[in-house]
Formats: sequence, C-alpha cells, structure tokens
Amino acid sequence: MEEPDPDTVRAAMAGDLDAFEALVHAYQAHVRRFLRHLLGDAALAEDVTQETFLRVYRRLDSFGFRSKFSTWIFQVARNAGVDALRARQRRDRMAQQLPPPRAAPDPSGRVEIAAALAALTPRLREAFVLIEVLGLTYREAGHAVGAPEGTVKSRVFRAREQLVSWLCDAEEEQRDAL
Amino acid sequence: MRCDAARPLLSEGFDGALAAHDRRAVDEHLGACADCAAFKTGLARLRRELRYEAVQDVADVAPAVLAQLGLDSQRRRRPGAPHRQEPHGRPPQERWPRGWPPPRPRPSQRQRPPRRSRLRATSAAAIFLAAVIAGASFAGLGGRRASEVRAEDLPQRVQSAQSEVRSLSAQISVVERGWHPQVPERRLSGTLRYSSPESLAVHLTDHTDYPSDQWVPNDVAVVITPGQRWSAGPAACPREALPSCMSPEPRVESLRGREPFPVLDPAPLDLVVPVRSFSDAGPPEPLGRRSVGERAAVGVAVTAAQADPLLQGLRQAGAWREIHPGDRVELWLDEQALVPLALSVIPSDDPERALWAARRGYRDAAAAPYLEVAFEGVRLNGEVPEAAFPSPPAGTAARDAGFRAGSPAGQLPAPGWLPPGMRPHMEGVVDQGGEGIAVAAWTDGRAWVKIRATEGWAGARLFGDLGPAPHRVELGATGVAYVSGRGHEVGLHAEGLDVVVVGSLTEPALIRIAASLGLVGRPVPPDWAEGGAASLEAARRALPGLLLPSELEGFAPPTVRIAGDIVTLTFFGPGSREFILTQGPGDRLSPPLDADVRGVGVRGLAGRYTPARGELEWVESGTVVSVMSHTLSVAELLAVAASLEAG
Repeated sequence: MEEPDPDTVRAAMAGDLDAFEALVHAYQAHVRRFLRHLLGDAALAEDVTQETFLRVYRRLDSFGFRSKFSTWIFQVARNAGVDALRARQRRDRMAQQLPPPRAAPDPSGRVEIAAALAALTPRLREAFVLIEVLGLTYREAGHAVGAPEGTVKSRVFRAREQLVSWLCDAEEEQRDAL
Repeated sequence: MRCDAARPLLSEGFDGALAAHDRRAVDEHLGACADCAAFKTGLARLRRELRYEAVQDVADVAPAVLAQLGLDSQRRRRPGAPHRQEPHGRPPQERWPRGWPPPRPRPSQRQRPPRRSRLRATSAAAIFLAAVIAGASFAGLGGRRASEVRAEDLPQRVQSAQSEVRSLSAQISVVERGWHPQVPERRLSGTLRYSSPESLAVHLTDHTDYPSDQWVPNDVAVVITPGQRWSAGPAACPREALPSCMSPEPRVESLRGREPFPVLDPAPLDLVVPVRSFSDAGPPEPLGRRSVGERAAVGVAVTAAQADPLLQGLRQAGAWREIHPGDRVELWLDEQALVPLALSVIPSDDPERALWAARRGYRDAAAAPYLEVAFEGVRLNGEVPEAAFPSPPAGTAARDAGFRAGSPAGQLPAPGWLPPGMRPHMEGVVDQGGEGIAVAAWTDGRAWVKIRATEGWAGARLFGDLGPAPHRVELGATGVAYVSGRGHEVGLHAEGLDVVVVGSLTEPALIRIAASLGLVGRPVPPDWAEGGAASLEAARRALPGLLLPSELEGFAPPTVRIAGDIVTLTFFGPGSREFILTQGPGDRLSPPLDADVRGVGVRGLAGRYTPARGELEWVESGTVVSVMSHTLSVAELLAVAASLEAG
C-alpha cells in the first residue's frame, strides 16, 4: 500500500482541503473494498466509506505520524465499520453469525465466498480481509484492528480454516447437483 | 510434523516467506498428507476467488465528504486553514506534491490535454516512448509489497476486465529498429478499431524514408468481421535479397466462411485486452504506475514469448523483423480497463540471444528498445462505425473456410451451464468435405466460449487441436475430459460424438461447461496419440530416480508420457513458454544430428546444446537426459537442468 507524501498529510492536518481531497482519492478505493468485504453490503459500505473520511478529517489532529498513514486510515475505517454493524444490529436485532446459504450454487463462486465471509465473526473477518484482500502485513493489520501481530496471524488462520471447509462442502454439493 | 502444526504454517506461508526449515517441514508433511494438501489447494482457490474482482468505475466520495465538511466549516473554521476560494481553478498537475499520484481528473477541472508529440519526419534522438508519455509522473513502487500484490492481481484482473471493453478505438504508432542494415529505423502509424466480440481492424501506414524507390513501404491492413477476414501487406522476403525481392503489389489474403473464434487463426484480441498474454502467467514483474498520455497505467515486464499473442497482433501481415522469445517486453496497461497503452521490446542479455541476432544480422544495442508501440487517443466503449471495418479490395479472390451460419441440426450438445452474461453469438456448420463440424459460440460482449462437435471422428488423436500433450481430468459421473496444455481447450471423446470446448474463460470454467453437456467422456483408445498419457507415479515406477525440476514458477504440473523406460514430461508455462524433459537409461549421447552443436557444462557434467532444436542433453548416473524448448533460452534451460532433483 502506498504511503502519502508527509507534506500532504501535514497540509491536510493544517486544514488544507485540497490536500485532504488528495488523500481521499488515494485511499477511498481501498477503504471501500475493505468495508465491502467487512460489512458484506455494498450500499452500507458506501455510506461507511463516506463516514470514514469524515472521521479522518476530524481526527487528523490525533494522527501524529506514530504509525503508517494507511494503517491509521484502516483503523478509522474499521471502527466506523464496527459502529455501523452495531447500529444495524441494534436496529434489526439480527444474529451476526448466519450459516452460509447453500440453496442455489452460484457458478462464479463469488456469492458463496461472500456468504462464507459473512458467516465469520467480525474479528476473524476483518483480519482476514486486511491480509488476504488488501495485502497488509500482520503488523500493519495488527495496528489497524488494535491487536498484536500473533493474534492477527492466528485469526487469519482460523478464518481460512472455516472458509476452506465451507467452500469444500459447497463444492461437493455443486458436483452432486451437476 | 502433524497436521495441526502444519496448517497454521501453511496459512502463514501464504502471506509471506516462511523460515526455510519451516518450509521444508511443511513440504515434507504435504508430501504425505492428502488432507493438508487439499487444505493448501483450498487456500489457493480462496485467494484466486477473492482477487478476482471486476474492474469498475470507482465512485468518488470526495464531493460528498467535502460538501459535508463545507457545511461544518461554515460553522467553525479550523485555525490557520486557507479559505477555500477558487473552485477548481488551477490544473491538477500544479497542485499535487511531486511523486504523489494525481487523482483522476474531474470534468470541471480538465484543462487542455497534455501536449502529445506527433511523429515527425526526422527521427527523434530521445527514446520514442518518452516523447509519447508527455507529462509522465512516475509514481514509483511505493512499498514493495503493494506492487507485488498488484502484479499478482494482474492476470485475474485482466481476465475479469474482459467484459468491460465493448469497443475500442485508438491511434497506433510503431517504431521498429534493425529491420535491415540500410534501414535502421522504421516508423509507422495507424489505427486500431475493435467492436466486441470479434470485430477488429488494424491499419498501419509506413512513414519511413527508404533509401530508394525499390523499397516497398510496409503499409498493412488486417480486418476481421463475423464470418470474414482479410489482410494486405507486402509479402515478406529474405533479408539478404532485400530490396530487389520486394514485390510492389501487396499480398492480399481474404477468407470467408470463417467460423467464430477460430483456434488456428484467431483474431488478435490481445491487442485489446491481453488475456492470453497473461492467462498462464505466474506473477509478472511489476514496473509500477505512471501516466501514459492522459491515462493512469500500470506496467509489467514479461518475455516476448509470453506476450506473443499481443505482439503477433500487429504483425499479422507485412514484412517485419524477428523478435527473440526471451527478449524483455515492458507493457503498460491502462489501470482501469487494462488495455495496452504502450509497449517496448528490449533485447535480453543472454549470450544465446547474441548468437541468434548475429545469425540474422541484427545489431541490437544492448538494453535499448528495438520495437516500440504506443496506443494513443484511446476511446473505450464509444461508437465504432461500420466503415471502420472495410471490405477487402475489389477483385480479391477469397478462400472459403467452409463455415455456414445456421442451425447445427441437433448435432451439438447444449451446455447445461454457462457463466452469467453469456449470450448466443453465432452457430452453424463447418463443411470441409467430410463430416460436418457443428459450431456454436457464445459471448458476453468480450469473453467468449465455443463448442465444436462432430460425429464419426476417425481418431488417431483427439478432436479439437488440444496440442501435443493434453492432460486428463476426471469429471466424476461425466467421465473424463482432456485439457490442452495451455488450458484454453477441453476435449471430450464420447459415444459417437467428439466435442471440444474452447474459449477465453478460465480452465475451471471450460471444464465445467464440458461437464454440463450431458455427455460421458471416455478415455481415448490406447492407440491414439494421447493414449499414452500417464501419471507421475507410473513414471517414477518406470524410471526410478526420475528427475524433476524443483524451482519452477508459473508452470503447470507436467503431462506425462511413458514409452517403455523412456519418460517424457511436458511442462507448460506462462505465455508460450514450454519445455520437454525426456529421460531414459543410457550411458552416452547419440551422435549429433546438427552441425551446429556446442559443448556446455550441465550440472558439473559435459553436455551439449543444439540451437536449431533448442535441446540441451547430457548423461548423468546412467540416464540420458534432455531438456528441449523453442521458447526458453539456453540460460533458462540450464537453470531448469540445474534445478532437477530425483523426485
């Protein structure tokens, strides 16, 4: 993940909206992608992406160059995502862990993946998405979610165990159906 | 090592380098544990599925965020903040800090487009591409990891980008160096027009100043439309006889009755989206991001062998110099649509390449591009008029390939499954004076798949041009199928019907379509050419101590053929890279068949290399070993040889 020019970040911290806009353009695709996989809902991800950047602007003071900027943005995005999930949960009172729907085998396999992802706990899912989809290192992901490297590593492994097992089951069902 | 220790290490290994001893321990465990091997396959598949994301227009949240902040700032201005007065006044390039990728320009902000250099009559001293890339800003590689991820993504992204390009129109510029000692540099320009799924027109006009009127300009046209194809250009003739052997009349070839997506003479669709140039690739070498003209581009470096489908796209007709398959191709693709924007071909520094060039009279300067192509003014998904695909010149006699559109009369099995978006494109029968071949093709606008079927296929080899060494896949209830080395064709030999499924889809998708035809694929009879296909275990039994390459990247598992105690393994790799490894008992090499033979040291032993056959041979511990390839250089063959281990 590319890091921004520190001058741009400093300018944004000083209130330069053009510099801030450059940061938005540079990271919105990554943030949106992360949130899409984390939330399993493209429309919600869109809203939370906006909310993320609003929060980024408002909290720029607290950034302080203590970590990588990209990692910090994912921290903000992830917290915004978690807040959105909790809000929706309160609203819908729906259980977070739904078993993946197996009724219609999807040829492209992507609906299955999305469903399997949705069935992971949020902790496993966020770690897995940051590592697998966005290519962060264990350490960067650790900063983003507020957990040690080793914990992230183990969450990613557990996520993979579950996903591979669900996908294999789904594949067997498809083969029988063919 | 037990499974519960191996699996977390497998997961960790997928994210980065494992310590060497861990890797060895895991590999050892994998060798003995089918469950963990299946887990590893599952991880790989998971990764492929997740990285497969269609290229989309990215919505921009910046306006909404800024609007919201604007509202906020009306209430409370941050101390020291510059008041945002002029709306979008200055051009983007002046504002962004250097080295920072500029955002996609919004329409309200667009100024005059950056100056694009035009081809001038005098040749440019500067590298041609640099002149084309006006205002280039090289964003560099950022964190190494970032660009590695992108380069790995590229093959899948190119695959999924297929459905996004419905039409394309571009200006092409070509600079070619070294064609002939008297003509050190040639410049051509023209147009590329594409309309999905398979209409393509390339026109090139030669602007070169030739030494005399005897030289015929390399004006080239290739036009492909449904059912028809024609091309015009000067006939190539031997270099030593130039220019007197050149005929002033261009050679015009015209074909009608062309079936959709013919395998033997495909339309060079890689000019539009280079699917075939990447579809078998391991991660290509990343070159970072940069602007080419006005478009953001991502660069990769591949070999000429790998990029062959793309390179050949421009050389379908006319007289061109040769390209060595091991030469380096730097390719810049539009970041969003993944269409080629620029490419250059640079000589490799392989000593074998120097010999190849010397034999042909090429004096290519080291590390300097000898072929440069730029695609400018690229317009995607706009209107491409019919006039862009002209008919062949009047009076051209057309060859007939025998395809007649119409209903294949029940001969063709219908697929039970096709990827979403696929619609019928063309169907009919190819009549080549014998059994007809029923043909049906589908497309989603850019990706395509075709089924060909025939009854009464006489055999001796599989129907469908599956290449020299297809491998066999088990389909469970639906029998067996055969997949070509490249993975683009899947053949089924069923009762009374032989079928091939071919397309620009992934191998698993093609296999799935084949399995859905309602046919049961049988193994080929043993007397067919593919009848000898065997497994690696059988090969190991036939030849104990079988040598296998240990460090191959991007190559599929080999196809195995056993004849007595001689084992032939064919390895297919990215692009058109492949090699054949043959081994059998013996204690000396047979006398050389070619005059041009060189002694080389192989694995500390005396071996020999025959350039004309691309073959490296030696004797080792009572085994005669040969590694042969027409697309790998001798240095690469030596590297393969060095990596061989008794497996």
